[in-house]
Amino acid sequence: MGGLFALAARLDEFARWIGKTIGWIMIPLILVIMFDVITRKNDFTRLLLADFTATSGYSVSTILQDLQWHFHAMLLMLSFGFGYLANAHVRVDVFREMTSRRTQAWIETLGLLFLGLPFLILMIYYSYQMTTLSWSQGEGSESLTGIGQRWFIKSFLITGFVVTLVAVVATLIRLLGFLFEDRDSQEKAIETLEIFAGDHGELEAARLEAERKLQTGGGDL
Amino acid sequence: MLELWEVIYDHLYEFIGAYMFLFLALTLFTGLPVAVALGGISVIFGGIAIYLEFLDFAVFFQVIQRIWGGDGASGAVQNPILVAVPCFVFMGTMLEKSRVAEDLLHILQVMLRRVPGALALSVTVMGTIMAATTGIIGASVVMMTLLALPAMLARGYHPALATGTIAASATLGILIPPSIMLVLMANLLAVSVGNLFIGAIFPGLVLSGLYFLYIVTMCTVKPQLAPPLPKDAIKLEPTNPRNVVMVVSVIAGIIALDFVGGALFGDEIINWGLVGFLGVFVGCMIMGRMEGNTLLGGILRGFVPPIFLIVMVLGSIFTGWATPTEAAGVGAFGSLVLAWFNRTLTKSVLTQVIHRTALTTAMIFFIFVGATAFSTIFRNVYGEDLIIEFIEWLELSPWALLFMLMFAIFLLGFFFDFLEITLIILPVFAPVIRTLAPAFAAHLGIEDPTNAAQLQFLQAQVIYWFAILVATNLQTSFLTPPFGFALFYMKGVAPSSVKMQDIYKGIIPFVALQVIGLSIVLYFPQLALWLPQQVFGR
Repeated sequence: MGGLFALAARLDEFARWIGKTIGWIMIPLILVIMFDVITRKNDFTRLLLADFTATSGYSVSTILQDLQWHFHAMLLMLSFGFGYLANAHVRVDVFREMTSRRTQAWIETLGLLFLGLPFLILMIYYSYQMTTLSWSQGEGSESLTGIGQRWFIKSFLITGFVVTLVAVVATLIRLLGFLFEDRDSQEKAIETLEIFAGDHGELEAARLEAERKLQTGGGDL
Repeated sequence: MLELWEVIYDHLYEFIGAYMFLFLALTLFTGLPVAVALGGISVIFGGIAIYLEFLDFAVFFQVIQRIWGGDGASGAVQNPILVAVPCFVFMGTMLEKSRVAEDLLHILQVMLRRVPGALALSVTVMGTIMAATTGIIGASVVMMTLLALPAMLARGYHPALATGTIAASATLGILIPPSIMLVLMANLLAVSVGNLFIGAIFPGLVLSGLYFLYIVTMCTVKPQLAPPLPKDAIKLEPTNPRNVVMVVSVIAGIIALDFVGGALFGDEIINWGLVGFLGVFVGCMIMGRMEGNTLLGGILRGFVPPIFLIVMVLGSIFTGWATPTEAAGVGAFGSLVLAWFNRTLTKSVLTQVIHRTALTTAMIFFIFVGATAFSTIFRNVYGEDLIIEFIEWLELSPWALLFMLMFAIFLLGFFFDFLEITLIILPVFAPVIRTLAPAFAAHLGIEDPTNAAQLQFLQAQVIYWFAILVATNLQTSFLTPPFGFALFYMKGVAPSSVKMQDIYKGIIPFVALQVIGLSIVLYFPQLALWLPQQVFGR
């Protein structure tokens, strides 16, 4: 089991790293929007860029607007795996909180095996189909003056679902270790799993912070 | 044997959509991630339908294409409108982590100190201005509780009043723009985000006005509920009147310069209105820095910047200067500027904000992807027709039907966050509402449609009104004991001295106010429809 746990740790690390890194794309996204708004709504730069469009055949503003949703696409697809590992995905916790960790682990394992994995594998297969179709058709931007090579951004669908699959596999290894291995592995698995209800680490930390603030008199004015 | 199989086959052919819905509900309550349940159920039932030859394998290709979007379809990926979502999440998280929200609460307390229940009112005002952006109910309740509850308890506020105010103000965020829920709703209902944002302003203000009235009345009648701020709690130096005069004259000077500039050079090259707006903003920030630890300095540093930010975001949509996406980007940029100005834009804060934004985006869009898969399969097995048939079979009057839908959404709000409701339920209800639209024409003060264009206009208006009703309704649902889950989040972060009974007791008056607010919007649809018509014309 030790080797598998090590593998799970590597996969986990990888998916988290992808998610954390892609988050930084927010900064260029914000800057691109600002640049687009300022240059497009301002007659001086607008005319300057219109000249550029006339001579080069590319519209800066259209490219920037395409770029905005390209960034958005990368951000959302590549963050799914990180979201799953950090247990950020919404669950309906009403009944779950009443069950034991073991039951929760069983439900999660079966759910991942029969619902999660088939869905992800199917999505990977069809996004691969969509990307190759886009590649073979030479699909470009709808507006002709935008960013071409649509297959490139479509391929992020494959990558995104694969990263999610990686996160799911890492969790599955740990869940199986928790369910079927000896006490030692179970403890190791619990340490690394974040899927259980009831250990609201973040909520608890926030509550302690609130207690501390209350003790110090609610902060100065 | 063969006959039995044929009966089962026919039964499945007709009702597979219903089974799909049933199994989804069962799977959701196991506590699996909602997105996994949605995706998995759609694969299983898609597989069954393919095996029984109701559908072709190509249906899954349709799923991935609907997830992708493009061509104006409401997909998750190629969809310029939804770029607003991560930007608003970033903006909200930034304002929280960079302590801009905290400073705002502090200065509001001091500004409102002479009014009964000052701190509770400050929380309401802050909720109106800020809570909007944190994205989901749990997060915004946690943020507001952490910011305000310890301060309120330490000042001797009654726990019931304190928790009620905080929960109600924090959930107000789903209605008051900029709200992520309204972006998603507009996207799914295929109406304009800007229009929906502007339509939500008055209903949101009505609600926060009701809270305001209630708090002031309660605190005047029973002053012991909310002790006034002790004099020595305010550690601000007295303001030098000369500085006030200076600030006012500088602002007046900038505006005057702006008018002169506009008159001299015209509006062709430079947008003087915007230059003036930004000029006043920069002026206030610089003077706020120069001003010491006084009331004036506090207002300039803590109160003015967030107000400017919100005005900038909504104003740019209002004036048609930016699309909601661009406004969200501008807002996110503005929050960076505010944090920098507040000297809290450190690497660790930025990293935290980035990670939180990535997680929230993942959460929202994974459900979006799952829900798209589900609704595509559901539509292909004629599930939507099944629901419409069922509703027609009920033979309810339009009003009864509206109330029934509202009640259903209210009940769903006990168990699901707005994400699931907006993404799974609304697309199913929307066609029903569209067919009903002519029945509400008179109530909305619109003439009966005689041609297709008028009908479309009417349907859009009814959808705006319906969306606002749903938003208010959901907010009520999140607050209603014993299930309302804003209350559970609140209990999770509240100091242990606060009992669940306090929270329940405190929220009941606010639920009553919500119901009043909901009835007002129901009875006067113009509240939601008038302003967008003025802004965008007809």
